[in-house]
Amino acid sequence: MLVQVNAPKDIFAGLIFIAFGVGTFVLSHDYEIGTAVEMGPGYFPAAIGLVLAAIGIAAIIRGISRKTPDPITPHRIEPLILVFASILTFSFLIERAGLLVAAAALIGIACFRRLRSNPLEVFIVYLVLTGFSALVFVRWFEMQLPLFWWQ
Amino acid sequence: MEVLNNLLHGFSIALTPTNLLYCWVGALLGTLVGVLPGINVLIAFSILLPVTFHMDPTAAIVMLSGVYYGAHHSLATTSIMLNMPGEPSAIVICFDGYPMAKQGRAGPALAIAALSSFFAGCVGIFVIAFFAPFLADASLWFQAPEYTTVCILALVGASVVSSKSKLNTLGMACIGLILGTIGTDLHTGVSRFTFDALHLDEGLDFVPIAAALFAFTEIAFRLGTYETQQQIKTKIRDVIPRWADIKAAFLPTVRGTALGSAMGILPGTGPFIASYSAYALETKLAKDPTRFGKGAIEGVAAPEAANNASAFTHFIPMLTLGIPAGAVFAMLMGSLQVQGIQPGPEIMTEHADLFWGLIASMWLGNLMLLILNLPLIGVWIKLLETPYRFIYPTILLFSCIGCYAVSSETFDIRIAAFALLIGYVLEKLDCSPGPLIIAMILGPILEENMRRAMLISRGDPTVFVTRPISAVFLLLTIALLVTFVLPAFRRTEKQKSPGAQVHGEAADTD
Repeated sequence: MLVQVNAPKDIFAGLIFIAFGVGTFVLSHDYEIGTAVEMGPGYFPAAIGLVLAAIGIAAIIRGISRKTPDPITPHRIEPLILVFASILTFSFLIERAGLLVAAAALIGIACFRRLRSNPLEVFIVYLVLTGFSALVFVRWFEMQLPLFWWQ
Repeated sequence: MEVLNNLLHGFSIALTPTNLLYCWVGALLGTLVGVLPGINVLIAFSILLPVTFHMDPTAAIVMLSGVYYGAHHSLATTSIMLNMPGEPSAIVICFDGYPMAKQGRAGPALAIAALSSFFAGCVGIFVIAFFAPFLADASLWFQAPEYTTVCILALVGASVVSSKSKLNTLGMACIGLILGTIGTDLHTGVSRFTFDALHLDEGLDFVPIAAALFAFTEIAFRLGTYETQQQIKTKIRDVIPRWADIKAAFLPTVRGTALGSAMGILPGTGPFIASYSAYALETKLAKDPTRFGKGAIEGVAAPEAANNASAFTHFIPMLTLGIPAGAVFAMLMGSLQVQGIQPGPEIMTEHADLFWGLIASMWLGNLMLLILNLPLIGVWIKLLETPYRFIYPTILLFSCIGCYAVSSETFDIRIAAFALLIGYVLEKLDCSPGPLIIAMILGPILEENMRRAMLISRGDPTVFVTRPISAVFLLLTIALLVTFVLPAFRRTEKQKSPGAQVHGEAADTD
C-alpha cells in the first residue's frame, strides 16, 4: 500500500462531486453563457458546476489528510435491489395493468422474503393497502389512477 | 388590535368544517408519524404532497402543517419511552426523559412534555401572529441582492448545521441547485438539461426526488440492517402529573419557550440548536446540576418547550420571506408553489385567508393534540411496537402512487427509482439529502434574484456587500462556514468536545 486512505467516503464523494460539477459545467456551454450583467441560461448552472467541483476537490483533500479512520460500513445490498426492482416494475405496470396488478407486483417483490415464510400475511397487507388506495386516493381524492387493466 | 381582528378572521376560516377536519386529520397523522417506527415528517410529506394537490390550498397547508407539528409533539413519546429520538432535536429529551421512565415516572414525564409543548405552541403561534406582519413590512427593504444572499445563507445554514459531513452536504446543496435549473429558463425560454424529454420542460418535480431520497433510501437501509422489534421495558402508571412536577417544570418551560421562539425565527438554525441550548441553560441555572441526566423534570420540560416553540416560529421566515428553515419547510413551500401561491411578503395581503386561517388552525390543532395525546397515550405506546414489515410496504406503495399522481407520468416513478440508487450511494458517503431538496426548491428563486441583482448593478458584484442587509447575510454565511466547515480540516486528531459528540449523534439519526 502506497497511501493509507483513512476516509474513503470523502474521496468517493469528492469524485462524484467533481464528475457532476464538471459535467454540468461542460453541458452548460450548450446554452448561452452571457455576461455577468445579462446572464444567459447557461451562466448559473456553469457557475454552480464550478462550485461543486471545488467542493469535490476540497472533500478529496480532506479525505487524504484525515488521520482517524472513517471506513464505509458494509450493508446488505439485496434489499436495495428488491426495492429498486419493485418501484421499476410498478412504473411499467401501473398504466398497462392498473393499480391492483401493479401493487401486487410491488408488494410481492418488496416483501419477497416474507412472501416465502408467511404468504398469507403479505396477502393481507396487499388487500388492506390496495383497498385503502382505491377508496381514499381514487374515490375520495379522485386521482387519475387506473385500477384495472381495462381502464 | 388589528392582529386580534385578523386572528378572529382566521378562526372563522379554520373553523369551517373542511378545514377543521383537515387540521385534525393532519394532527392525527402527525402523531402517527411521530410514533410509528421508520417514518418521519419528510417521508410523510413525500406521500401526502401529491394528495394535497387535489385539495383546496388552505386545507392542504393546514393539513400538512398539522402533520409537521403533530409529529413534533409526539417526538417526546418515543424519546421518553424508548430512548429513541425520532429527530435530532429530541435527543436532549432522552437525557432525562428516559431515566424518568426507567424510574417508573414515565406518566408524569409524558404529561409534562405534553403540557409544556402545548404552552410553547400557544406562545409560538402568538409570536407568528404578532411578528410575521413586522417581518413582512421589513421585507420591503428586501431587493434582489438581499434575496440572493438570504437564499445562500439559508442553503449554507441548512447544510452545515446538524449534518454529519458538512462539506459533503454542501455538495448536495449544489447538486440540488443544478437539478433546480432543469426545465425552461424563464428569461429566454430555452430548455435546459431536458435531454429532449418534453416532460422535463416544466422542470424536474421535487416529489419523486424527495420520495427517493427520504422514503426509498430509508427503506433500503432499514431492510439492510436486521430488524429488531422495539421492546418497551418501561411502564406507565398514571399520566396525571403531581403539583410539585408542574411547579418545577413551569419556569423551565417559559425559558425554553422564549429561547425556542427566538431561535426559530433565524433561518437555518433548526430545532436541534434550540432544544440543546434550552437544556444547557437549565443545567447552568439549576442549583444542583448533578440531577440532570438522572431524571430531572426540568430536563424534559425546557427542551420540549424550545423544540415546539421553534417548530412554530420556523413558519415565519417561510411564510413572510419565502425562505425555508429546513427540508420540511422547503417541501411545504413547494406544495404552496404547486398550488400557485408564492410565499413571501405579499402572502398576508394577497392570501390573507390562507395565512390567518393557518395560524388559527395551528392553535386548534395544538389544542387537539393535548386532548389526543394524554388520554390516548396507551394507544400511541402500543403503536410504537408496530413491526416494520407492515410499515415499509405502505410507504413504498403510497410513495409510488404519489410520484405517479403528481403529473400522471410513469417517467416520474422511474426517476425516483434511479434517484434511489444515487441517493443510496450518497447517503453511504455521509451526504445528507435534506439540503438537496431545499436547494431544488430555492434554486430558481436564487437564480432569478441573482440575475436581477446583477442586471440592476450593471454587473458589479460589490452590490452584495455595499447594501447593509445583504452584507450581514453574507457575513453570517461566512461565519457559518468558518465555524462548521473549517474545523473539519483541522480537528481530525483532537478529541471531540462533548457538544460535538452530541452533534455527531444528531447527524446519525437525521
